[in-house]
Amino acid sequence: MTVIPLEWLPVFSIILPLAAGFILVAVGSFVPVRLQAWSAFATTAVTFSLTVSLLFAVMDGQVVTHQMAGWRPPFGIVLAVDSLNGFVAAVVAGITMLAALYSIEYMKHEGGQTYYYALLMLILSGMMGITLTGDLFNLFVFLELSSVATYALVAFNLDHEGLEAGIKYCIMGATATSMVLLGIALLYGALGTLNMADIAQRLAGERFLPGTLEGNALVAPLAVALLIWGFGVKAAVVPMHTWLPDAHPAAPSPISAILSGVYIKVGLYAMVRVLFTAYHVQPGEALLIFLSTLGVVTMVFSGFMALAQTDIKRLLAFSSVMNIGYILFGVGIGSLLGLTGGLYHLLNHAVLKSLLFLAAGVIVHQTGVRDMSKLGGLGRKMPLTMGAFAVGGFGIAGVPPLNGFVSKWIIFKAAIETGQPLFIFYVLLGAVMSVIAVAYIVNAFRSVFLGQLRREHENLREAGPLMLVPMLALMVAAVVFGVFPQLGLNFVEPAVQAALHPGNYVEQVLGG
Amino acid sequence: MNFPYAVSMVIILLGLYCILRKRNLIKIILGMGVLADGVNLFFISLGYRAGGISPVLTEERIEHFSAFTAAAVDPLPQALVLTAIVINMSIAAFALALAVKIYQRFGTLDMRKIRRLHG
Repeated sequence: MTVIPLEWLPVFSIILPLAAGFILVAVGSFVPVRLQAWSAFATTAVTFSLTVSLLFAVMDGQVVTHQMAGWRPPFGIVLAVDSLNGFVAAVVAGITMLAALYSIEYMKHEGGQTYYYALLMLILSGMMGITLTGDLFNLFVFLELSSVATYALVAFNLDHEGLEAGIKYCIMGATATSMVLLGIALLYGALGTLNMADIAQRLAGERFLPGTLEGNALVAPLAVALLIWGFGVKAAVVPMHTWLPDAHPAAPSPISAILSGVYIKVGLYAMVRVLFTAYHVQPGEALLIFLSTLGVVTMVFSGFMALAQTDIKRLLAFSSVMNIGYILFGVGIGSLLGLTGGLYHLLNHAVLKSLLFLAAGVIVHQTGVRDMSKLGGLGRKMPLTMGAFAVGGFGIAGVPPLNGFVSKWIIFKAAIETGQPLFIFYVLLGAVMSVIAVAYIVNAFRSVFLGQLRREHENLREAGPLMLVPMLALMVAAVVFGVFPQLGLNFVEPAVQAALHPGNYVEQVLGG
Repeated sequence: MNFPYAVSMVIILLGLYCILRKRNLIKIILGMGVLADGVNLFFISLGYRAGGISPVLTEERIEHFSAFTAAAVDPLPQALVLTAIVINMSIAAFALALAVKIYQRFGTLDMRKIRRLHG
């Protein structure tokens, strides 16, 4: 069907946005800004279609591998796509595409658009690299690439808030990625390989390299602890979340949507890949129970923090941390159902939270105000934005029939099925936190859209069509994935199978 | 525990201490560099071999291939660390550029004061 051979699709998904970023900077001064914006959107759209065709190719259990420069694994760098990272890559590219479309209008009157779109391209390229690669060091390089781009975009406005959030995020992020590198170094020292499939095989067979790290029982656990630390900071797991509530609101709204919607999920994906493929953890293992506990702590802590916020974007940022907690809880259960719930919530939260940030972006763009106590009655002026916020908000809070309800339900069901008192206690906490989520969403909705319209907002208008179209697309996705959950689960289930049975991945990567 | 590992661990801890305890932004950025260099040193020393030879394959070395592989140092950590150094340089450059902007705007590089000014 495709003109491009299948094994080249992952390469193009990475190269295309990377090249687009460089070209944008090179030609930025003499090409009309409008054209730059549209070509950036076109790049994201092409990348999205590449990842979607990749996803459909790998759904049946095939693993698409590309050996860079023809070096056979485990010696060369290999890009390997199975149904797990194919799924994540498609979600990432899809949300980025919608955010890029929204940016065209949102950033219209802002300065520095060339750099904005170039950095956006770099984030996309980095996220594609993290998800599609089968090599740990390659993953680190792309993690750094996307990280530096996000640091710059958080500080993009160069105001007090952006600068402070940017430097804070930069310090925490750079420390985290150093820890990731240390973990990778430990694994390399012990096993002599960087290929994830090879790591899996050697760890399973306990084939350690003769040398100084040989026979040291601490090496593998220490490496996984460092990797969880590093990826945990990127995924904003409590207590490593402190950068997120500053950084996400400080960025321009479409970037907040990308950061909250998909960027933190990429950190989570890296964690899942390392744990389930390389380490091949089993449900009930202490490490997974620890992750579940971390997830529950994350959701309880950030749920209460969200309740106390008056800034609408800060509230949404805390809600993102909370939902990372739900996903981690599901993943930490480690069973078929638990992972299904976790990964489905990953998709749903990506859809809902980017919808919410885009809706909040409309409010910020039209009014210039983020403090919810200084807003009110906007529903009459912006009915569509109100609808988008309602769908996103109630979806996040887990109100049926929206998609957030389905995935939370699956996670809770998986936890109850384990029959362990600890997990049942976590379900109770999760249910209570869902009520709290409803409370802060209703509160935000009421103070922004209902009540008395302020005099200075009398002349407000609804956002332009380019901002509304991405929101409508996300609203449709939220309702469809909620009413027909099987549509979404069709993609999630192969991904879960790939995570739980890494044997197929290992075999096809090393044999291919 | 061999000596280079111990030294690199000390450097890593020193870097972490610097990041966590220092207030001056420049010192924190230096700490980030120290931490990254500790990791790099650890990575490099993984490939070290006492009395090793350079991992370059020449005609005469092909003839004694097993002797060559037994004595050559591991070239991969050096290649990886070279990449990591370039990445760390760009992060340091970015962080310092941000520090300049912060100094222009807040008039201080003290992280606690920056937080208080922002309120």
